[in-house]
This record gives sequence, C-alpha cells and structure tokens, in this order.
Amino acid sequence: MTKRLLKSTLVILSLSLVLSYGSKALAQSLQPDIIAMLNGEPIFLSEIEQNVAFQVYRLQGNIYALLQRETEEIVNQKLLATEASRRSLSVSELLKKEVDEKAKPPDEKEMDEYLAIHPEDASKDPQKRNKIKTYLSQKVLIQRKLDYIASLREKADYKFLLKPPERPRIKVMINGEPWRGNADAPVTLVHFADFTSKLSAESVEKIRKLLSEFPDKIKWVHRNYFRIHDEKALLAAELGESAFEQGIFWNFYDLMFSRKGDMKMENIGKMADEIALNKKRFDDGQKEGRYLIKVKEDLGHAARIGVENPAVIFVNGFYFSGTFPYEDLKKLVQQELELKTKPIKE
Amino acid sequence: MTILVPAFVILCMLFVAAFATAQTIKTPQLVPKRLSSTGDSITEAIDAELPLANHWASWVNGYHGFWEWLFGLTDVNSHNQRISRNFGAWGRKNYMEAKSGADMPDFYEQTLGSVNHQAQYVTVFMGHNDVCGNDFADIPTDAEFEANFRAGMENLSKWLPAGATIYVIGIVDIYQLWEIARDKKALGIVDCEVLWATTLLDLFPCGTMLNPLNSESDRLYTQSRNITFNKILSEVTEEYNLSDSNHHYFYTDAVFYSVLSESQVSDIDCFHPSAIGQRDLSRITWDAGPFNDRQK
Repeated sequence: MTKRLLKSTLVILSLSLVLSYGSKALAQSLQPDIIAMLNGEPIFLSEIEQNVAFQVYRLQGNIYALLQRETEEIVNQKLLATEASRRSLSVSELLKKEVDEKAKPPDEKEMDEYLAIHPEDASKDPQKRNKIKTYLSQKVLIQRKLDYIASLREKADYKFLLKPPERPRIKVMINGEPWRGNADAPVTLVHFADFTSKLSAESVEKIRKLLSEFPDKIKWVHRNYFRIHDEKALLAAELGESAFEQGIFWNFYDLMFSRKGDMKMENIGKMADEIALNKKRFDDGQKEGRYLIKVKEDLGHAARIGVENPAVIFVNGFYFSGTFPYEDLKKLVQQELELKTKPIKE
Repeated sequence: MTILVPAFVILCMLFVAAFATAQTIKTPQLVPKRLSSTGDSITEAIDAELPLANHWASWVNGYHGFWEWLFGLTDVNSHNQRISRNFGAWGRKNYMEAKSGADMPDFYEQTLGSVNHQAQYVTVFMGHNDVCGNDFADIPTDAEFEANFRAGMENLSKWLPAGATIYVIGIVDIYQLWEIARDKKALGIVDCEVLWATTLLDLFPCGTMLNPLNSESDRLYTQSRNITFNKILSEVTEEYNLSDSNHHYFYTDAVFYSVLSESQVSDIDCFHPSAIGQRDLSRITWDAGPFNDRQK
C-alpha cells in the first residue's frame, strides 16, 4: 500500500512538473516575443526593441540592402551562365560575342556631340580629347553589357521576395523633462533644440502654430541638443536646466527663442537676469556639474536615437528632420490624431 | 675539371645567396612615435559625426578628449591612439598633412610636411579626388596619376629618417559608397539626392560618381578607374620596397575590398565615412598594416 501510495505520489508530482513546465513552454510559444526571463518574470522583445528601435531599423536596413545587392549579383551570374550554356559557350565567350563585338566605339561625330553638351571640356589639348575618347569608349562597352544583362532579365521571371524594414516608432525618454500643453494629449512632440540656434527658433514658431491649430491635442517636451564646441549653446543649456530647477523654465525658454538665435555670449547671462534666475543657485549647480550631467544625458540620448543636427522633432516617436515644412509636420500630427495614439509612456 | 665544376656551382650559389640576402636587409624599423598622415577629406574625417572636419574621428590621427566625452562621440581607436597604447605616450607626435580636396598632384607637397616633421610613420590614403572629378575628363590618365604618386614617394624615400615606415592604402571603392548612400534614402534616414544635386552646381566633390544624371555605365567607368589607380599604387609601393633598403613600405587594398554597410557612411553628406566608418577604417588598416602584431 505504501509503495502504491508512493508511486502515485511520484506520478502526480511528475505530472504536475510536466504540466507546469509544459504550460510555461506553451505560454512562451504563444508569446514568441519573450526574449528573457528574470526571476520567473518575462522580459518582452517589444520592451527592449523600443529602446533601440532606430539602431535596429538601420541594421535591418543594412541586412536588407546587402541581401538585395548580393541576390542581384547572383541573378546576373546565373542568367549569363544559363544563356552561355544554352548556346554552348563559356560566359567569357558569350560576353565577347554579345558585348565586345557589338559595342561600337565612338567616332569623331559622337565626340563633337559630347563636347557640344560639355563645352567646358572643349580644349585644344589633345590629352583632354584622348581622356574623353577613353571615357566614351569604355562607357559604350559597360553600357552594352548592362543592356545585355537587362535583356536577359526581361525574359526571366525574377522576384525579390524580402520586404524592407518598416520605419519604427522610437521610444524617446521624457521623464522629468520640461513640458507644456496637455499632459494627457494624444500627440507628444519631443523637440531637441538649441537655445542659440536660428533654425531651432524657427521650428519653435512652427510648433507654436501647431499648438494653436490643435489646442489641447499636443504635449510639447523640450530636450537639449547642440553642436560640439559651441560654448554659447552649452551655457544656455545649463541656464535652462537651472531655470527648470527653479520653476521658471518656460519663461527662460520663450525669452531665449524670442532672440531667434541672435545673441552674444556675454548677453546670455543678462537674459537670465531678466527672468530673475537665482544666480547663486546657478553658480553652485554649475560648479557641482549638476547641469552639465543633465545636458550630457540629453546629448547622449539624442545621439542614440538618431539626432545629428538641431532641431529634430519626434512626433509620437516618429523622427522628423529639423528642416521640415510646416504642412508635413501638420499632416503627421493629423495622422497620429486619427490613430488616436496615446502619448509615449514616460 | 671534375673538381672545378662543383666548385664553380658552389661559388655561384654563394654569390646568389649573398646577393639575395643583401636585397632583403633593411635598416631596422623605427618605432612609429612620430606619425604623419597624408591624404584628403577622409583622413580629415569630414562630416564623420558632425558637420565639417572631425579630426578627433580620423581613422589615423583621431583622439578622444573632454568634448568627445561630453557629446558621447564615437571613439574611433585610431592609429594615433593605438600607437600610444602599444609603444608608449612619451615622445609622441601626431601630424595631419592631409587636406580636404587634395588629390595626387598635392601628394608631393604633403610629403614635404612629413619630411619636415621627420615622421617615422607616414600613412598615404589618397586618390579619391582623382577618381572623383566634377567631370569625366577631369580624371587623370594612368601616367599622370603614377607620375604624381612617384613624385611624393621619391621625396619620402630620400628624406625620411632611415627606418621609417610608409604605409599606402588603396582607394576606397567609391561605387559602394554610392550604393549605400542610396540605401539611406530608401530607409528614410536622409534624402541623399538633395545633397548630391549640388554636384550639378560643381559644389560637391564627386560628380563622376554622385551626379544624379549619371548612368550606371558612367558609375562603373569611374569604378574601373578606381581599380586601375589602386593597381598603380600597389605596384609602385612594391617597387620602392624592393629598391629602398632604408625604409619600410607597405600596401593594402583591404579597404577597397571591405563590404561597407549603411551605418559606415555619414548621414551628413551621404558620402564620407561616418565615425563608425572611420573606426572600422582604423581597424581594417591597422590589422592589415605594418604594426598589426601590436593589438593593445
């Protein structure tokens, strides 16, 4: 009896283990984007991917392009080999017949026609004329080969089946950053800008226009970005951080951008006085490096998500170049509103 | 007679051996503390990570200091940095004779700089602007290209300190750069054709490859010149290596044959190497170069 009880217990225990493992495995198979487990809790690929979406997108693009190019090369080789075989020739013999023997070198008339289109090359220097002749002769041969391969392609049934990667929605960090507008707005604009840049000032005006056209629909977040060795921009960014700390950020922001990038280094400190920024608090913070670290965080995050020049706007995570036409930006915002996309999570 | 023949043969063999040995004896190679780079906008790292010259990001002269740290810029681990790590920082000099826009006729003048700086290690990475003209008629003939290259090499061989190293790197495959930059547009990262359109105004340095009006045969013609110029660089370098016992010459075409990816090309101008591209350039050329046994 004891043995049977023991055996039954073991069977039940085993079954429980199997079921437990199996259900986990089943759960994982139903959720294929589990990339890791931590203390029994899953970490999803979608969580990780959002942080590195831009880099992943570019790498996927690299792979796609490499595969496509290599496939094209192999397709060309196969087409030539097949045609050569069909005609009982080697590939080099085929190319000799179809390219070398059929390519007509340029005559003097064609040379004159070329020089008529490129008068800057018209010269009595025989070396120059010879160079042009060499170029035109080589080009004829190359073009003949390209045309021949294209003709083989036309007769073949070729399809490249891989799809290119889709442009990602990037996770832009905005936790603890200065913002204005509607906290629960369906569209979040994250603006990487330079207080001392004319281009950044122009993009600020466009965002203001957007806010007036879509009241309560936009949350506008600022983050710093500027060019290397720009001491003026660095000082302005540090002052901005101090203004944020002191609760007067947007006063500073509006004042700085009202100058539209036209300011000297010595005037920036005076502008901070205009909004009654506590100078001692700024000096202490600057000495401690508190503001520099914050600015560096902005710059580092910007670089990671693909910002190379100020200003760049992320519209619910979609990258939008700084030199945008207003209408394109408006269209993107409208599309997002239509999707009723929630703001990016902090 | 029976004794004379083998003796004669032995004598001949000894003579040949002595001759061969004399050819391969070179002045001991100097430690490359004084570095001098000759070249063009690639060596100046134009548009590598930020607009215009990014000297910190040069594959050969690059460095990593405060501003690079603040901006989280790429550490390219250049030849300059590798030399300091492997040979010590004492007595180091890091000269850049390279100038954006330079082509092979400028090589001689740049070597004057290398000689003036008594360089112990000279890198030569030039020819891109010979392949990249505004117009096809601007591309030099083989003879012109070779003559200009020889002029600079002759200067180096005559006046560099004995034991110096000259390292010649073959021209990048310009055609690949065009292909990859086309990929950038397809990925929506940047519209390269907007930048390239400036070639029509003769403001962009590589019309013979990047002009939007070029046909595929035009681009392949330019690539064929690229290949021929590399052959000249290789042959002339080898010739100097065999004939000049005072200096050490190296050539590699590893860069030409590297498969490039989109991230290695700058987003700023869709043509020059990005900082990642510069970092990879440094690695590829170092690993193929005269000090590749030093891997710190």
